[in-house]
Amino acid sequence: MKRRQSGQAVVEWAVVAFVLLLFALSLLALGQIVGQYTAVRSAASQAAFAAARAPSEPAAIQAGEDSAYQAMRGSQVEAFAVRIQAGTFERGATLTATAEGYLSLAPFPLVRQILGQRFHLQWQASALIEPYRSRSP
Amino acid sequence: MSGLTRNPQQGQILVLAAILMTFFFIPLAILVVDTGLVESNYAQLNETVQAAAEDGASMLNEGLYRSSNGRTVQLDPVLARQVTDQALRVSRLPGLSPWQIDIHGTTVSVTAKVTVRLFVLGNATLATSESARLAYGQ
Repeated sequence: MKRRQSGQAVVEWAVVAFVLLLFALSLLALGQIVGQYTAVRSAASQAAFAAARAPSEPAAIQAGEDSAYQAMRGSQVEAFAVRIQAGTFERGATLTATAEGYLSLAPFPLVRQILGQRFHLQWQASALIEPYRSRSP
Repeated sequence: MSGLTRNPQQGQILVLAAILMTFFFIPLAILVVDTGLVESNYAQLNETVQAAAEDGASMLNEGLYRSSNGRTVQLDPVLARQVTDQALRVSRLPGLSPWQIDIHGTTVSVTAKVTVRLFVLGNATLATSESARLAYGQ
């Protein structure tokens, strides 16, 4: 009788431990998503601010992209891309930087079932094209 | 003891697991998500306010500068306020509430608040203050 009980406890524990492990992994995944989302947001704002201070439109696109890729260095975001929309690049106009990428959820089974294989992260930041650091082309 | 009597220890692990989930995993998940949201919004608020203060602090009084042959360099307070205000407005930061701009001499200080909608814990209001100074010939 005692041996049967102890066997049952082991089975119960195994089931519960598995579920708890899935939850622990899901927590890690949530942390990962939040962390990478912060990184993408930061990359978009840094790109917008760097581009808004550039002297010309091509320089703005270059400065924005450089700044965003620098900010994302070492991150786990895949297929990261940044788009700078400088419009006419006139003084006092608004410039927009859109940063996006994907976070792979392959190592997190429970979260992968809910959110899919890859989680899309995107953020758009705007900045004022600053008069004294930019010139009309 | 008859064979039909239930063992009081049966299902104990399941109860323990339910308690652990309720009081540990779920609050921890909420904490992870909401702390992350606060952190990312605070970082962005800081970056936006700092950039707006710098934009404002670069507005020198052009008329005075030209009439003095570049000898007098002063901040144009009206233009500085206008540009700082516009920089904050175009930032489109979600939840950014009315801000305060103070100009003293060549320094532009901006205080701003942002209301962040958290995943579970309701709303959080974050505030920051940043300054920038007109720098010339440096």
